[in-house]
Amino acid sequence: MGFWEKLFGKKDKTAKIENVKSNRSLEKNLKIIKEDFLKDCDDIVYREIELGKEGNYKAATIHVDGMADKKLVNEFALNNLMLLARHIDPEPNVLKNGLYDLIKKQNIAVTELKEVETIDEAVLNILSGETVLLLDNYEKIIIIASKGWPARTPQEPETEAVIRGPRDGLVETLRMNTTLIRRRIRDHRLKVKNYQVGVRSKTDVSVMYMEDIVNKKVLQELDKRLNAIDIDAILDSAQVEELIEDKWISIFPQVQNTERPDVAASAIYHGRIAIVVDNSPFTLIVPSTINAMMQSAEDYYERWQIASVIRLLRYFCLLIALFAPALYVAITSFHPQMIPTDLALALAATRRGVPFPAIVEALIMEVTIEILREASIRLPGAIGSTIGIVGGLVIGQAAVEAGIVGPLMVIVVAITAIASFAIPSYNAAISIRMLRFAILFSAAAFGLYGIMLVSLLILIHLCGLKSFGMPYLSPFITFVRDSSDLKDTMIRAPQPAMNNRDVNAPKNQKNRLDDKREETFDIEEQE
Amino acid sequence: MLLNNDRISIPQMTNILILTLIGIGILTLPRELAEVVKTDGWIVLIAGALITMGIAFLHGYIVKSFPGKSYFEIIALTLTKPVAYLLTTFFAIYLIGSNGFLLRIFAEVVKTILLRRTPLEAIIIIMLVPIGYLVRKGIEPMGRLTNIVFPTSVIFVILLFGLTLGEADFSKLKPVFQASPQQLFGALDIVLFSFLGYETLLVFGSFLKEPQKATRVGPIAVFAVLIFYLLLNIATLVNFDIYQMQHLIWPTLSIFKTIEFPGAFVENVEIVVMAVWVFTIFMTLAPFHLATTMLIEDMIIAKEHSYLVLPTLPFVYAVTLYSSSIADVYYDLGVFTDYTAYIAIIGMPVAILIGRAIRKLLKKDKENM
Repeated sequence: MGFWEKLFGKKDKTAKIENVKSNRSLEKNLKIIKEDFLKDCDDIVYREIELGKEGNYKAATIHVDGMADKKLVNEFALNNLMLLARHIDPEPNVLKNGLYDLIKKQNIAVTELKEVETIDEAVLNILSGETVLLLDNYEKIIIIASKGWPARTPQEPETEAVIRGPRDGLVETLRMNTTLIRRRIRDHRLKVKNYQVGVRSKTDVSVMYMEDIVNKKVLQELDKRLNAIDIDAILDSAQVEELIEDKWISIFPQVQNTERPDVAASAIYHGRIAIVVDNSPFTLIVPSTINAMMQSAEDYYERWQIASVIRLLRYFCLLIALFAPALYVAITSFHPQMIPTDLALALAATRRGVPFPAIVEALIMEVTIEILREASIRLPGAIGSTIGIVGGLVIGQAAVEAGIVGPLMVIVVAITAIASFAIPSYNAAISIRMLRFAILFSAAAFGLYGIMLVSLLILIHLCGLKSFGMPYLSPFITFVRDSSDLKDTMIRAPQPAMNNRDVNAPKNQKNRLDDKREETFDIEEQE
Repeated sequence: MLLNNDRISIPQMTNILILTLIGIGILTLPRELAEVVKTDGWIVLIAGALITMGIAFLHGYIVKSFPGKSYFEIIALTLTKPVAYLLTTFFAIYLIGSNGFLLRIFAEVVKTILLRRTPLEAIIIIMLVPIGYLVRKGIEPMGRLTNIVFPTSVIFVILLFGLTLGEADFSKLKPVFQASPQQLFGALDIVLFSFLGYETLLVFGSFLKEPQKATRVGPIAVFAVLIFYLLLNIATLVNFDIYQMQHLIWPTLSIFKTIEFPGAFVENVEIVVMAVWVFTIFMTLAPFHLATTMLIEDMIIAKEHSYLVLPTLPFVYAVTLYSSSIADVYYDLGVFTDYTAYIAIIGMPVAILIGRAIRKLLKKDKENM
């Protein structure tokens, strides 16, 4: 089996284990890189140069075209080595033994230099966007930090837009993301630990946490789970999320994701851990609870009364999004005696001529709405909203006139759809949409009793669920021990009242705020 | 850190007990009391609760004396192993039997009020699904579930009782102290049975985080339920005539029929009450079944109780279909509890305590020798 198969054949884990020592000879090194590692990679640029007044010291630089910052390499490395170095007469003694040190320590004027001893590492660095400098007669390989590729600048995050609050969003570059987060945390206790995940993609993953507030056990568990990932490639943080979450079978997202650096920073301040994945603008936050999916960043930037009312409204929307169509079906087909007589008569009048049972009626409208929603996401903005209007208004109206659904059903379905948009977390809203159908079917079979039993099943499932050891339903179930966590759930308490970190934080780091205001200021008072 | 270590705290255990105690009894308790002692039901309730608290304390004392030990191990330690097998089997049968009858009564009520045309078997079987699901998950999720269900039910109960006061006539609470001591003593039986459920503490005791506080769990739970029963008794008495009440099968549900919501967007609140009641019944059935599987687990030294959940459910189902009509169910339940409950609740704990005392004496003798 040739080296090529060994490296990239079926068991490609060997790529990491295989340590190809670099040679003293430049030729040999170049040959290994060119023919064994990077054969047929035409976007690799090799530049062979000769150093010294006489030009008798051979060297070579290698980088990936487009990924390395050419200007930086030209100006501060090649220029120095090739031009400026010729103006000074080299002292033979120094050069003989110390060329390597001379170049490393004195000649190249860039901020970051590394040195590696194996060709594997050198190749990995080339592919990450660094420039490699090989010197004849030296085994060590110099890596010049030259990563620089076209990156998106921070824009306003589309999925978590706010009226008031910072407008910068995370981007696809890991380092930019960690910078955006670190800018908000000027504390030496903020730690950033790097991992490489993916046997082939070698995606950089940074774990950010506050050393003294974070729960050590959660951190250990995360470390274990990240190291256990054995996959060929990670393209987005969603894949990491799926590989580290507690129960992949559950419909509820057990890892929070955010596009906002302020949300990530806030989570870190509360003792949670942010996982930044390269190539993904979505940062993961663990441990996450059901509460997190009902929160929006804006809640903390608006006045607390408004935020509280909106939070309550959201929880109400959650109930509507889950139960409204099911309740309609259950009440009209099983318990019509629950509706006041007048309304019952009116309802019966509108449903006269509708040939289907309530469940079929509900399914027609619910499925239509889901199709509309899916279609409008795929279409570009302007057409998308047109589809919404055509679908929502025209089809609804026409369906009622054609007599296949009752007008009340259209109202119920429309309110349900709008309510499910009010849930801030998109992936949670999808789970709610799916569960709504389960509840709908149970209502069709067993009425209110069925609704109760399915909600019981959902509740039991939620009670058994944990995110990195933290009960998914906390603080709703841990309030017996620590009721202060409830201040940031269905309502958002005023900042001075939220003086504690949540249940996840260590005991000695509970306090986060002291309100030291004194109300003695009087503008009229004479001094 | 909150890892899945199958431990429950004292408040969680109290919640579980309260929700276990409140079950089928609330439907008929006011009528049964009214039949025997008329308006003096509250005296019997308080007396019954005091006795129950005593027994519950005893159960807590046993748990406290053998911290971390399962019920089977406790019996085996005090009364030898063969007896332990016998008594544990008996206790499991008691739990399965009670569960079956309770489920049957529940299904009958659901059929009468919610689903008139649905077959009874269907109602029973789909109720078994969440029971099986929760019991498989174990005691810790159950403890967490009670943390949600309990406060919610309390809010609902206060709200609903508040609404029943609309047409209340408090003069109907009179006259008091009319029942003779014999009548009162006769009614004690009813109350004692309506408090059943606290015996699950004996089985769940080994999962307590702080077993040294186990003695307080039972009495607190019984006290909370006593307050609830007193409220219920008063609410039914002030709304119905004492003679009218004796002819209602389920007076508790009937009072909610009288409620009219202000604004009237919902009529027939008893359907909503039923829906809430599903939770409390579920929280009676699930702990009973969990206790059953845990007893069997200890007996056959199984590692994981979750595999025993499904095999035991058919037995419960068989008991639910044993009686032919709702009247028979109540009769059969009466007979069943008469034969089993006293032994399970008083007989076995007392035997354990005696066994423990003898063990201690023997030990002392040995040390003295």
